[in-house]
Amino acid sequence: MLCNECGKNEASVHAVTIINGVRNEMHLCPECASKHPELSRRFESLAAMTSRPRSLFRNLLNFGFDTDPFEAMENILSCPTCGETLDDIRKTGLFGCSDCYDTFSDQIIPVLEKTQGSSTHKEGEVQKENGQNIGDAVKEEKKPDRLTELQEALKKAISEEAFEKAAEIRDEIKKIKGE
Amino acid sequence: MIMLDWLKDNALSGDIVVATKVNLMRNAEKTPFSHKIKEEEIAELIKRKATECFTGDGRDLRYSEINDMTWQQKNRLVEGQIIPRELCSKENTALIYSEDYSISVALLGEDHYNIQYIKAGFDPEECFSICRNMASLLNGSVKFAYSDRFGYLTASPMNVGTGMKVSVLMHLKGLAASNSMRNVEVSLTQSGFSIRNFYSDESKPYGDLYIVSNTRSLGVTEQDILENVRGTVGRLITQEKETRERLYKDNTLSIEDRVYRAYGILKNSRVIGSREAIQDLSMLGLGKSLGIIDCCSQSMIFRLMISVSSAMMAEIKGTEIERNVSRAEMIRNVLK
Repeated sequence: MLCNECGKNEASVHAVTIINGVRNEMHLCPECASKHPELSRRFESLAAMTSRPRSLFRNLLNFGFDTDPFEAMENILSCPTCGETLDDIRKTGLFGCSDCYDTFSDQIIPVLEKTQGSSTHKEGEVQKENGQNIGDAVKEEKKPDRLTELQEALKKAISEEAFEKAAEIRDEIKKIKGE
Repeated sequence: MIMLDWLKDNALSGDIVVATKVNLMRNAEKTPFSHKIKEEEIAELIKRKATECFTGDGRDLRYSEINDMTWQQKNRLVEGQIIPRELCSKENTALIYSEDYSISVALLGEDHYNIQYIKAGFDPEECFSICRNMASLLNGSVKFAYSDRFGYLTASPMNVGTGMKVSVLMHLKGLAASNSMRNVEVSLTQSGFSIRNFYSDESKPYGDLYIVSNTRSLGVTEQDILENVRGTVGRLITQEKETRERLYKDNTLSIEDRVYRAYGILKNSRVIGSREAIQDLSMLGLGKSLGIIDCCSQSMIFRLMISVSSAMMAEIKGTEIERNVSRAEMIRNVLK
């Protein structure tokens, strides 16, 4: 069979692609095949498959995609509270916040089983004193500043006769004061 | 004489255990861990809460920002087991400490609060009890990050659960001299402990001082950890004692010779480097425990082993030779 593209040389690369159910056959000579990067990429994957089983698995899933699906999956998973991704955690060895323990529980449990011999806390000493939440304390401290700020904005809005805005500010002041 | 004050004599000082240290790591609830804190106000508040708690009226603790210290002071605290090295390389970190440094709270290191108590001799129970009281006091003004599933939540999953680390500084001259440290390491690892050298020079250890710590903090209670430490360290003490006695029985003349040579150097030298001094002191410690020589107390030998290191003596002004002269003088003054 002659090459589909140049029509001169004998075709030695045969590729079948199915995109959206449309089957497309290509028969190319090595020279023309080298002009198709998507084909050479697959050949590299094939070479890698034979040498490393882990790559084999990755490449199996990777076939036809530009990104590594594992990496993509892991990077999508980020902690909603602090934004830390598994990749960040892998680099520092540290979680970003206490919520990371829930976000990455599927990943961390096997690691804990291996390194600590357990993944569940055994209750011994628990401190029950009720201290303040630091986040709330910061808000609490900012409260007077925010109030003054709002009261001034309210005055300004009234003097400018921007009553709709004034009403919004008044509601916010009420909320802060806890009324 | 420059030495860390927590290393003072006490009834529990033995031939083998130099000191015991307990750390409790705690973090404020619903707040990013130290390395992820972006808002200055949060960092300041975390520090202020602890300062109000521990340095308030009638309490004897002091507060220092790590950034305000000289590199010599920082090094001395790191080598003296008071702060972890990473506390020096980060912004915003601070230390609350007692005059003798036995009590300390490192602020905004790996965790928001790292409460520590260190004392000479082997007493994990008392160290823990003091740390627990400190944590309880702090908990009165800061709510800690805690979950029923994982316990106290720490930045590193290696400390989660109890957030508790017990470290025991030991002089294992016998086991080191009989090339048994590799086996010791393997058996410690199997029972959930780690061991590392206290002194090492270009990755070569010297001085025969080792730090043994628990690696498990999850799935065990604080009391379990204390019992494991007592059991494991107890076995290690017995093993070290037996090895020392066997070594002495099999090589009496050579050991006596080496002990007296070490004593000769320490008692008479006019200039001595830190490595040589520490190695000779280690030999002297062995001699003292075997009853070969009585030049000063065992705890004094341990105190010297820690206080004559380069890091501890870096604050003495002058050249390195001048410091080597001071070191020799310091040791001569102590030995009988």
